[in-house]
Amino acid sequence: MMRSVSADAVAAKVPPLWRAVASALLLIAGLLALVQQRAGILSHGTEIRLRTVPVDPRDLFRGDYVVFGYPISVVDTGAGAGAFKTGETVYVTLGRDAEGFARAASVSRDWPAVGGGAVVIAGRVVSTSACALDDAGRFDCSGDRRRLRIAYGIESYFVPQGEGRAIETTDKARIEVVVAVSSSGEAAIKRLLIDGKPLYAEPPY
Amino acid sequence: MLTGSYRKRLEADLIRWVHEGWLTADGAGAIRRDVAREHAGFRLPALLGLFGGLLIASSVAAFVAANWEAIPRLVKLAMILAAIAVAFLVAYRLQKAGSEGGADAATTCGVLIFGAGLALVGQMYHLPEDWPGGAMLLAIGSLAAAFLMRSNGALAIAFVALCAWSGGRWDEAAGRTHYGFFALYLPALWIALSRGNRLVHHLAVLAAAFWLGTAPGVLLQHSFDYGLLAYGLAIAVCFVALGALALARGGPAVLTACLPWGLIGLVVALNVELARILDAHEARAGHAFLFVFYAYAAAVPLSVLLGAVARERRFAWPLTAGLLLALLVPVVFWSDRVAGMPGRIAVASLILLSATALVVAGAAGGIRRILTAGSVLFGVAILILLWQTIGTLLDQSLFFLAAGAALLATAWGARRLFARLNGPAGEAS
Repeated sequence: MMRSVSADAVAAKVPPLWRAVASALLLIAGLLALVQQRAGILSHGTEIRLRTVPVDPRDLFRGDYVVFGYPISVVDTGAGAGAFKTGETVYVTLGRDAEGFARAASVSRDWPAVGGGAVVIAGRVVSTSACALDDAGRFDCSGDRRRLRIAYGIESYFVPQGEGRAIETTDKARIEVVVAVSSSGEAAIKRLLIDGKPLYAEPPY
Repeated sequence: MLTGSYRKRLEADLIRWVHEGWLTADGAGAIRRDVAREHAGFRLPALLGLFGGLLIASSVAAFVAANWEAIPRLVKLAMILAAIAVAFLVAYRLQKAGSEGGADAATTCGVLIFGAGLALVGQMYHLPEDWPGGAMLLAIGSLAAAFLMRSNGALAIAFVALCAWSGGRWDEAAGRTHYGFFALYLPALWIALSRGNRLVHHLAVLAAAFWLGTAPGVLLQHSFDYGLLAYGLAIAVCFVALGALALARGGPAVLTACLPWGLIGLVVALNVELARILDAHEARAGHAFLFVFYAYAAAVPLSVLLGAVARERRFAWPLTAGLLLALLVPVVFWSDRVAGMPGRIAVASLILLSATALVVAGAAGGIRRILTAGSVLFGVAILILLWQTIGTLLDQSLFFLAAGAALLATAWGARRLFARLNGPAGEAS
């Protein structure tokens, strides 16, 4: 009886060639599906513009990258929103300011009921007592601390080795990021602009 | 399973047996040939192949990390996909040629290249933030390969990756228990149960220990509490009992890998408890939180079960006694007598008794790990007692005198004790 439920005995019922082909196809299909999913966001997602705050460089394993912070990275929950927990997924409804940059309008635990025009972006709560970034890009830690720091998966941007420092030292007010947001709220960086001129543009593939 | 040390011992014995005339030279030669045949599948080519595969996978990973723009990223992706296909093709060819070890090495290499591919996709689409998500995908991919290709290397990667995933999610959630762990751990354990590879068994046990360690996470992340020590002690007792049960009743080989890790945990936790009861500042009761009760609720019945169902009582009963005595140590802390002399004497006596019980169990059952753990526990406990005395040096001297006399009395009566334990059922006590 033990043998019949043993993993190796189950696997042995399939010929080795099929098993090798199935393993290779599974891993290859997994990678392709991941690529297709990200490419889908880039090609079909709604574009939003974001101001940035670069933070720090370098990932040991994957070459150089720049880390960005955004004004929407810190969101005021407002009163009556309930206590959010670190690590949970939240949905942020975005509005636009006078210059067309995205601003967080509201945050909720469930998918918000919004009109056709509004963009909703999904993120993960990193901390529940963050200091807000004011319009000048300074941290404002005053007032009650019911602010969430939220990560949207668009906080890092890989650049060819050696180019991270150049972006990092550029004045943050000059850098703008265009992000594509899918209909389910997933976000991907699409373009990086300095002084309104495209520096890097991401092809879907 | 033939280990190198066994072959060396056998060789020494064969020479002696031939010399004594108990064995003919031909007989010894036949035994040597038989052992050599059993060991013929020595895995040197497979081992070198594994190292080669690891280097190739590392080369792919470093290539991805270089983010070299001369090659378009789609070409890089295609190269990785092709490398995966080649790795599994080689694995199939080697498996067909009868080299299980070589096939395992090729599969492991394929899975590692898959990991490099995940890193490349992460780089293409700027996804480094979600490394636990990448670890989860690697765990799923390596689990599938481990199952389909019957690869131990891929299974080992799966265990490491699923711990990284679970640990990452646990950390993101500020220490909330991550129950999703079991969605991947249970299939991995199921595959590990059908394997004879010790590395896989130990990783399966360590992954379980990792999750149990992170379970009371909110406490771990915010403030240390001595209740965690009691929790760790009870978990260690569970592991020792499970490992000993598997040894005593011929349980799954995975469970026997619980024994060494449980013993290490037990020795460390007990010695820390001893050191802190002798320290005026640290001798305070821990907070008995819910997980401590869970761990005790598993540890006590498991220890009793070990004593009840083990075939060899002279091994199981002392071990059960040793484990239950160890579990009493935190109870002393929870009583009101912690700071005073009675608490110190009680903890020191419990730990020395527990160590002695382990030594007896290890010696009687012929299990060197338990014997070693008991001896180490005993030796370190004596050192701690000499370093931080129970009271004055005179009190300490009196304590050692009493303990030594008790041990000598036990040793003196050991032969009769063993004889009784070996006696017919129902007579043992």
